[in-house]
Amino acid sequence: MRSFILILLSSNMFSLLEIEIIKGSDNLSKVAFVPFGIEENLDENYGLQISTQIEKNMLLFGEFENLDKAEMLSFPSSEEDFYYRDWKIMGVDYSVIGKINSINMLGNLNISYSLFNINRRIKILEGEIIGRENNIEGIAKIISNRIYEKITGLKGIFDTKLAYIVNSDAETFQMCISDIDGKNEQILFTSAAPIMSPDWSPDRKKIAYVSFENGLAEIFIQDLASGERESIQALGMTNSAPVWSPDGKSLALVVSFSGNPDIFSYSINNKRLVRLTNHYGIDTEPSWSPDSKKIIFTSDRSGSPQLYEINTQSKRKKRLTRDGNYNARGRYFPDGKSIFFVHGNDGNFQIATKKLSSRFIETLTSTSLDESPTISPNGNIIIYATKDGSKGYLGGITLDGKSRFSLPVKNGSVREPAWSP
Amino acid sequence: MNKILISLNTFALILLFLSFTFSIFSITTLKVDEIQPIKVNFFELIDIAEPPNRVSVVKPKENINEADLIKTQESNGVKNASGLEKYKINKPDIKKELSKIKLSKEREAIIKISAIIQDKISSVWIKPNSLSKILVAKVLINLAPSGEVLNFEMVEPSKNIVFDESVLIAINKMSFFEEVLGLERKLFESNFRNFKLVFKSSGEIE
Amino acid sequence: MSKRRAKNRKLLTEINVIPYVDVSLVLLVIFMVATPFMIQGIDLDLPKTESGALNKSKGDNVTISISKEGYYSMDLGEQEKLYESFQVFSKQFEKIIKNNPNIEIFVRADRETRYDNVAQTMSLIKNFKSDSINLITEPLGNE
Repeated sequence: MRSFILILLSSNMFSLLEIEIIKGSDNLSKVAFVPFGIEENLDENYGLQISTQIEKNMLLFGEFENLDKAEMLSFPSSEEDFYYRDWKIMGVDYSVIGKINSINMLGNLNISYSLFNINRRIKILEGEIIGRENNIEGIAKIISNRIYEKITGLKGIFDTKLAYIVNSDAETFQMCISDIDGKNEQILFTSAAPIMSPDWSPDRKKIAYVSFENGLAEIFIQDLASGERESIQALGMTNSAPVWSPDGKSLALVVSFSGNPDIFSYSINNKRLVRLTNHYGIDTEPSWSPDSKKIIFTSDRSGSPQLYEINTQSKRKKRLTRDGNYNARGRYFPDGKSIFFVHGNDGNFQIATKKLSSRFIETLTSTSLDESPTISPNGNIIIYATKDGSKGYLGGITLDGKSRFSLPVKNGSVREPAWSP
Repeated sequence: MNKILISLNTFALILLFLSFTFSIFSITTLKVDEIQPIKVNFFELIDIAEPPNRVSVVKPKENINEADLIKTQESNGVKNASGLEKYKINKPDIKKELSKIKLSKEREAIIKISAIIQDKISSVWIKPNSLSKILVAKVLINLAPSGEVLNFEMVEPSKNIVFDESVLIAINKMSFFEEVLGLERKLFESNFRNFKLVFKSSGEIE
Repeated sequence: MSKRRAKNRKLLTEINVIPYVDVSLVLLVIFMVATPFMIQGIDLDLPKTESGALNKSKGDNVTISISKEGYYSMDLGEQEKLYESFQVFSKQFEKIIKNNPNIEIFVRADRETRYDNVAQTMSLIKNFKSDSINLITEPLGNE
């Protein structure tokens, strides 16, 4: 990474010296979240609440650094009182200011906000939003998303959700979903038998998962709004690892007839099962490519678990990994050009990535028992399950490796996170 | 003789005593911490008149044309290898050797400064996550002999807004490259008066 | 021993002061040289003809101004931010130094400012940044 290439073309009248810059800084962008101003006769708390909430959201994954409120030199709430110098001198890269303009009789707040690029001395975002006074969190999420999108060019992810399984003791398994910041946890289903492999439908309205409540692995689809559960009556002995296709029309799943698991595609509307692989080895953990044309899966047909790709139309297969003797649980990046998976090496299991066009894999994490990675819809953050002793918790990492974080600890082991679309 | 010495001595002792007392007094009253002396710079508040000839003209005579030099050396080398005058040393050869040494030294200086500039920019450039896209943006920098960035312009944008923006932010943070101050004027004019920074994203996950 | 004493008996009546004078003179010189240094403690780096010209564009910098009446201000905000007291000013100044340790500091004090105010400012700056303080002066004859 540290290879510096210098192209030196000197003394020629027509060619200029070119200095190549490949490596970026390890620093994070510093953002100042100025407490929002308020019009007279409004509750002062609103302003502070909104900016604090936005700040919390933006700092959630360690992608930014903030300037503490106590360190600010001024507290502008409109462009007229905003002076770039006050922020430049503090080493700030971006400033967020805003104001609560009014509140109407129904309790709707009218909030305006702006984002400034301090180094370039320009306003890069301006917006107005109306929201209920009891939904400050929701308002803050929308503003955070817009700020995040403007700064990083990636889709904002503060309104996404996370599904996971909590195992508080040997006989209690809970299928849970929560906001990405861990708030508003909802228990969808509790069982005394294990629950596994949750996956979100692309419209975020349903979750598919495997439950052992009837003794065998069985796939259920649960509607989030109504709470209704529906079992997929596939033909095999056991059905597992359901994954929604990005178009939402079918599920990829593993069906085992007489103990030999293979990958199938299950069409939700006409309930038809189509066989994709037929091999005496174990084929499992399917996942769709973003264009719904290919499926990645783990197979031990070569003797050790490795990742393969199958074209759902032509049924042509391709081996994707060759390094080491354990590569499993593969998933595509949202752009479909890279994959991430669990790479085993001398008893250490870590999250790794690989560009499909390259031969090399790169390990991301440094803990040793990492599993079930799931990626943010914008492709910038991976959350995975890992262990601290016997207790499982969720860790996360940004793909540039600048930030590592762990999600708030629950009472009980947390496993198998699934990031909503 | 002794008397003179004794009186001189008494005088000296009195002086000594006085200086002692004075020094003690002065130390206690001033309370200046002498462990960490501070450096105070005085600056005069005057309008800085721009030197009239900022773009100094380099005498063409001094301008070494490297390409030509290498060419002549090469042809010379071929001739030497084939001819009988292999061991004959003539004055132009020594001159060429000298200029070659000079050239390599110049090259070294340029590489050194380029590396510093590269490092400086790298330390402020917050590279966006560009996923698997390969992006290149070129920026033309115009320096004053003092190292001040007079002007910059993105001559070849990458067309990825966030990437281009990150590059512009990085350059905005750098207003000075003092390193060029130590350079010979001629070298500065030919290499650092205008130069290009090429920002690249390999598309690899780092 | 006794033989020697007998030989030099006459000279013993007077003290041999020459080494004594030597030592004391050397001491005197040392102290005379050392005292001014001890008093000063501030290393003055006066401007050379060219480099003395103010060039602020090198990096981040802040200018502290002290008025004749002892008001403090910094070149922040719209143009100049005035602070009601030294305490308020020093708090803001601390924030800046904490967030931007490499910042260059310039002090601009009115000629008739009380020495106390300048000294206070200097000691404040020194608490955070002991390497350099820049004082802005006007050229001679520029009334």
